Amino acid sequence: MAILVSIGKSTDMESYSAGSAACCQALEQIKSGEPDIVFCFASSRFNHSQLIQGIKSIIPNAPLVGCTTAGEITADGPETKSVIVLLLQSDKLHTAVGMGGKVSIAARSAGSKLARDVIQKTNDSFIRHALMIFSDGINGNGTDVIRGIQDITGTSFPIIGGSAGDDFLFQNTFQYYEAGVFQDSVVGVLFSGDIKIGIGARHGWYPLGKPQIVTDARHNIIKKLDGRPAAGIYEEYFGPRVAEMHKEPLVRMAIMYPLGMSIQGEAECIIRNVLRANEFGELVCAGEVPVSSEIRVMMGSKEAALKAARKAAQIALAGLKGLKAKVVFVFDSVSRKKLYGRNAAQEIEILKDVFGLAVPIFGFYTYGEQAPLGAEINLGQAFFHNETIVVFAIGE
Amino acid sequence: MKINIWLLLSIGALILSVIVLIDNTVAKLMGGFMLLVLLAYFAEVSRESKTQITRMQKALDKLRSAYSELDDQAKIIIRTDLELNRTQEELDKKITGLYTLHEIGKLISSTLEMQKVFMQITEPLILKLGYEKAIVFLDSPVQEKMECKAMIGFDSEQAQKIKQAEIRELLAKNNHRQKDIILVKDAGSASDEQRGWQKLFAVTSFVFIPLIVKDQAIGCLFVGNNNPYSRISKGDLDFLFILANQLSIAIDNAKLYAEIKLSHDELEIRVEDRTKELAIANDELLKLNKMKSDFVSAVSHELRTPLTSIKGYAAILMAGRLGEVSSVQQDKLRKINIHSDELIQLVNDLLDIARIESGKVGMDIRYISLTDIVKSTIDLFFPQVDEKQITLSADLPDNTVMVWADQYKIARVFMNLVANAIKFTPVNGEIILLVKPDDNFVRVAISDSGIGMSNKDLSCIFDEFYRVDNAINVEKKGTGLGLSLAKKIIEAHSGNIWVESEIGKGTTFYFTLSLRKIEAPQISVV
Repeated sequence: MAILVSIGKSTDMESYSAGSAACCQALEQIKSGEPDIVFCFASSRFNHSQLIQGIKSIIPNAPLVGCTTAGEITADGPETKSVIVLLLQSDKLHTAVGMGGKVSIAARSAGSKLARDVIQKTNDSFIRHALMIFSDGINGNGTDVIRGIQDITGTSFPIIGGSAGDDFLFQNTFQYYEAGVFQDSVVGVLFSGDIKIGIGARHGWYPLGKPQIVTDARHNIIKKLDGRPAAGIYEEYFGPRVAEMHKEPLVRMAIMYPLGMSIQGEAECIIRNVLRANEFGELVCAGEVPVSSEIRVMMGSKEAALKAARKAAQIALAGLKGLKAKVVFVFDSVSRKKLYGRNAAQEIEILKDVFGLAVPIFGFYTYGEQAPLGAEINLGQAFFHNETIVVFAIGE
Repeated sequence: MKINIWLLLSIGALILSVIVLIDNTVAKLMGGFMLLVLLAYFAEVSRESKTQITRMQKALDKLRSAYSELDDQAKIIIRTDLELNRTQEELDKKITGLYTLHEIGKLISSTLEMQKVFMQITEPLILKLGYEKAIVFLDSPVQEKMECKAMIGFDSEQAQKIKQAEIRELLAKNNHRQKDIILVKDAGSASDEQRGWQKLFAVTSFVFIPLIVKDQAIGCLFVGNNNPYSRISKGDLDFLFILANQLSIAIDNAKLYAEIKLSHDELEIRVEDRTKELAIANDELLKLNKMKSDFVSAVSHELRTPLTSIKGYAAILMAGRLGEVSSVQQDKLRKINIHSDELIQLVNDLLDIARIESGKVGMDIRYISLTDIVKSTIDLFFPQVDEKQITLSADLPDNTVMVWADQYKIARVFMNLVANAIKFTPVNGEIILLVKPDDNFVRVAISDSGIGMSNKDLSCIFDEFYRVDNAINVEKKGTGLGLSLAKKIIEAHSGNIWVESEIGKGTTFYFTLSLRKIEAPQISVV
């Protein structure tokens, strides 16, 4: 039996019927009993426990993972306010799901717990390929979650995924695990078995202006840049517009102009989104920023971002070593969607162009992305990214 | 260059000192010299480097300021980009809004059914316009309430709550007449009352826009957003006005259509009812008419037999076979005879009419000469016209006119019409029989220079038992059946009969007969 993949979608206002409708639509295409696993990405507008109950009413036993988003993605293009469901069934590809809680206070141990969970559930004889994670996108240190996973899996084990969103509200995100709905958590799936995977991650943002050195930082909080309060960097660059920062969370403005952190050997800077500026003038970032990193303000352009998306897709395709992609997962930063405006569908078209029109595409717009670095010097070590498109292809 | 010279000198000294290394005294001297040379060399080098460092420092300062300049330019770029992004966001919203408005406009104007108008307002369209929630409220003429006609972005529980809320009262309580726009941009600008609305609709910003038809508010459009970053502002109103306007027009059209359709349906039902009533009445009439004909027929038969006996016995009496008859008796018997004849004539006419009406009459259709009938009619009436000194003439075409008809019955028509004409034409008058064939039919006209008739009489002249009220009719008895019978006979031949008349000038009766063979006796069967 090959890998069977099917996708369902619903925009029903009623959460329960939206869940069951999307599930029914997907199940109809598989036509062979219960799938091995259910992935679910949904708008934050739903009543999430009703939504999951709706899915469970159709597929009661298969493991379920997923999260809320800032927009859903299928081969049909970008969606908003919808729920999308992917069912996977195969005898070659094995999946195991896990979860870790309290990301905001103990991100590292949450990551470790998740990794232990999935490894324990996976037969030792299977080749482990990659761990896909969905983490709270507002709380917690994304880098620490990865570190916690790496404590268990080793640093070179591929980790991909996206941080949960909430329709660009930046209030609360939810993670789905089995029949439960959680906050402040990370959920994940370990892919193992006789398959090939391909991973590509690119952003296309370019650095602008003078590098500033992180002179004081703790985990994901940059305290000082060049000895001055870190928030000053945006006051410098945004000018009079900075007044708006106090009205909206900084992230809504800064998301288009994140901070870039150069990493040895990598073609692109690692990007750090700024979640907010605290009362001490410190910048709270979505991922960790070590002291003495060189930081620059980054700017995006549509052409460069689309080019980067194509590159990421091509790298992922190359990873399949000539095999046909059975399914393509996409974790695409919400800032990219903002950058493209009403032309967001162009990026999905590029993925279809690279992988072929018939390949199922499934993903969401994220508040942060996880993917390994490409350069050999970094030994495929996974990092926490922002403003990035992560393409994960499974082939057989 | 200088450095190189000093360097050569010092190297030379070094070689010399190596050569004389064996001799100690010379070595000391040479060593001292070498030291001197080296010292001089380093002094020169440090002097050189110093100038070089200051030069490089200058260059570095230049670079640094260029870098800062570039950084400043970067700031300008970012600020410009920020502006561009904002503008693009606005523009995107406007363009998408316009496209969507166009789409909605097309959809809602494509239907004339009210319910379908509201069905066209779907969530994807409202989302595309940039709103999470929308409701169309319509005034309900029945209940003193506003009805929710379309609800977008609410689950059933929220929808239920909103449906139960007295929106009209809420609007009124806020001192808003229905034609006012209510815009609440965010929690900060909302009144306590409006905060309640924010809770009811689960939104942070919202707007009510009236739907106006012919200067009259018929309901309102509500749109709202919960996302605090996509607040509804005054800038949204332009679009919403267009949307509200499109909706109002579509609703008005649908209403008008519904009204027209309703009255059309009602009319159709009424026409149907009336037709049914008429059909029933007609059946009733036909039945009654048949009963009348049957009755007349039966009675006439019953009358004819005793009449024949009366006439027979009167003849026997008159012939004196039962004894001598005095002249007075003779006179009375003659009257009995005449009146009996009249009665028999009346009964015969009645019988004929009844037969034709009941379809019992047999028509003997043959190809006959109309010319001959006219001639024999004139011969028949010659004594009478001669007596009254009336000119009775015929205007016939040269060729014999042949028609498909029942000879006896057509002769009867001529007799009736000519007898009538003679009756109402004074002494010295004139009667002309005109026969004029056409392509398909022949037209016969019987004109007299008689007393004529009023319009009122013309309309009833062919009715059974109708008699024109004039001096001649008072004096001369008649059955009132002659013309009616003539009409029945002509119509049984698929012909028409009509009359033209003017008081004091005369009357003309016209009738037509088909020149073609008539298929079967055309009888107005009743």
